[in-house]
Amino acid sequence: MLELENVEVTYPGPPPFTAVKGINLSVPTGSTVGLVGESGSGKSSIARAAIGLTPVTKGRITLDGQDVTNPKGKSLRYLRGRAQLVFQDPHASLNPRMEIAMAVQEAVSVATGKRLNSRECADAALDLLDKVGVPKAAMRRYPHQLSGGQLQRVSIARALALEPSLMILDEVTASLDVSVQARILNLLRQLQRELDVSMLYISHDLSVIRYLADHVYVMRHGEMVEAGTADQVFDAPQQEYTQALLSAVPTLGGSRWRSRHDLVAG
Amino acid sequence: MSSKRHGTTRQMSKAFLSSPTGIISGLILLGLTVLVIMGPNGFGDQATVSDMARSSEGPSADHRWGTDALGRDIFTRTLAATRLSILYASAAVFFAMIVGGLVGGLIAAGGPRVRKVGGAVIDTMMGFGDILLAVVVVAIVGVGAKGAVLAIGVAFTPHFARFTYSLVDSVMVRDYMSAARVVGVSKSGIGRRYVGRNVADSLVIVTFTTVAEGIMAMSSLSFLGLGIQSPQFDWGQMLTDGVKNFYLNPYAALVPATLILITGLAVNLFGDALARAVNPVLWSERPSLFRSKLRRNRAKALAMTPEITIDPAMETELRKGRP
Repeated sequence: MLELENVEVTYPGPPPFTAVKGINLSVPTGSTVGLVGESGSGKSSIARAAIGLTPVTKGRITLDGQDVTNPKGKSLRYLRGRAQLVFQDPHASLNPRMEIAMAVQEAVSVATGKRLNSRECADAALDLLDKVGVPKAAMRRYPHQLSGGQLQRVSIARALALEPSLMILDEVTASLDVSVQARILNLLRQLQRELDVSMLYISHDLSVIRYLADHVYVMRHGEMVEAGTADQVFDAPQQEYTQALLSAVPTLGGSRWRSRHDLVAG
Repeated sequence: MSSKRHGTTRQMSKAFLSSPTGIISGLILLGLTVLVIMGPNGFGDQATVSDMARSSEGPSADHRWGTDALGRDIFTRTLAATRLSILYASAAVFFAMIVGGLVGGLIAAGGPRVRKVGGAVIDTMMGFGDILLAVVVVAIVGVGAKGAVLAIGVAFTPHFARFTYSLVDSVMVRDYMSAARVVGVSKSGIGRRYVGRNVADSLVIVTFTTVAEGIMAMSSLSFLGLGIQSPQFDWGQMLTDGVKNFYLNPYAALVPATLILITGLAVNLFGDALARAVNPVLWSERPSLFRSKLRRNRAKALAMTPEITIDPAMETELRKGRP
């Protein structure tokens, strides 16, 4: 459904910086695609370009065949109606001066246009928050009163309000502790089963990608290093960088513990 | 929606009233408001009719703080001057806030070229200095109350424009703005609920603080003879006159100065309290659920900590070991 062809993202300088150097990526309908890479490898730039927040300098992005490269007007509405992005830091991505129920209600009213009155929008928002597991007592609160995990649920509910067929999740568990991370990941899996959304999951955390993704892309310095099904990439990595990345994952027990020498320099 | 709005308003007023500074400054402002409503005519002849036989007297039984150079009662005259002093200063600051806020906001929301040119224009205007800018405006509009208000308004406008520009600018790059665009919130919705709500408290504080500065600026213009003209009078004019006769009756300068000080303090504190009230991050309590859990856990942790006891024998042993 989402296709990136030879996409390049260059941030204007001075000096100009090319964060994404002509990559190809595809998210088939109904699947979860993982995008792994270290910090600064261009993962987030891809997310922002795909949703139209960062301009693409070369290449083409299509969603269900429709061109959504640097979307404007009609193509922008088309894109935003079908694809949503959840940001890394939930404390920063929700308006601090808005009750969380309002934040979701706002998204519902955008999605439904004028079909629902504010009462109905509010009810729909509460349903969504309930679905992602935000407790009733928290719905009238402001973002700073909730924990990171709860806020990330709110962000997910807000994205779901627009009934997207594609969700791009940019490091959504990176700022959460491990047990909360696991609960959010379970929620995402459950949502995917129930709602049949396609997902592009971006993370530097290999274990998270392994847990969620069917297909995996590995990025480094703005280039695609390796791509394949999750099993291929994790069990039989072809590229030296991927092997080093996998060997850097700390595991208990010792067999997979490698010395730091195995890590790729830089 | 409407019931919720009321809930928020109620919480906000509760937050406002819970601070002593808010209540105290509110009471002072209430008193000043009464004086503003009474105006110069509310105090009879004492404030306005001169009595040259009793010029520049010190405190006495019928003139508690003495008289000015024309024999008018200082205290009554100062109270009577409240209306013009506060109204003109507020009008000037209000003008600057609206115009400057709009200009600054629009520049911040504009494209790169608008921002570059707009920013340069604001900086240039600020470079002139407030009083110089005000004097130029008075020269164009003419001496008098109207000219002075417009002059101070124009002089303060670049400050508000610059301030609003930086405020909006800092909000525009936040993640929640990108998130709002991704969700598809309308431009007006982003303006009101995202930009508006996040810059409101800072603007409120600065507006109230500037009212105090406005009173001072109006006095400066009066001092230059460009402000309010006789027979109208304000604190600035009284201060200027009082300083000239400071050794005959210091209260002629001190009483209006005190009123300027009190008003300045009150509007500042009121601005602070108001800003606290409109910012939920500062007043809404964190969920008590978590707090009690935290407390419980801390109690549990303390209970589990083994008590550290030092065996006296070991202590002496340790002491001996030291040189």
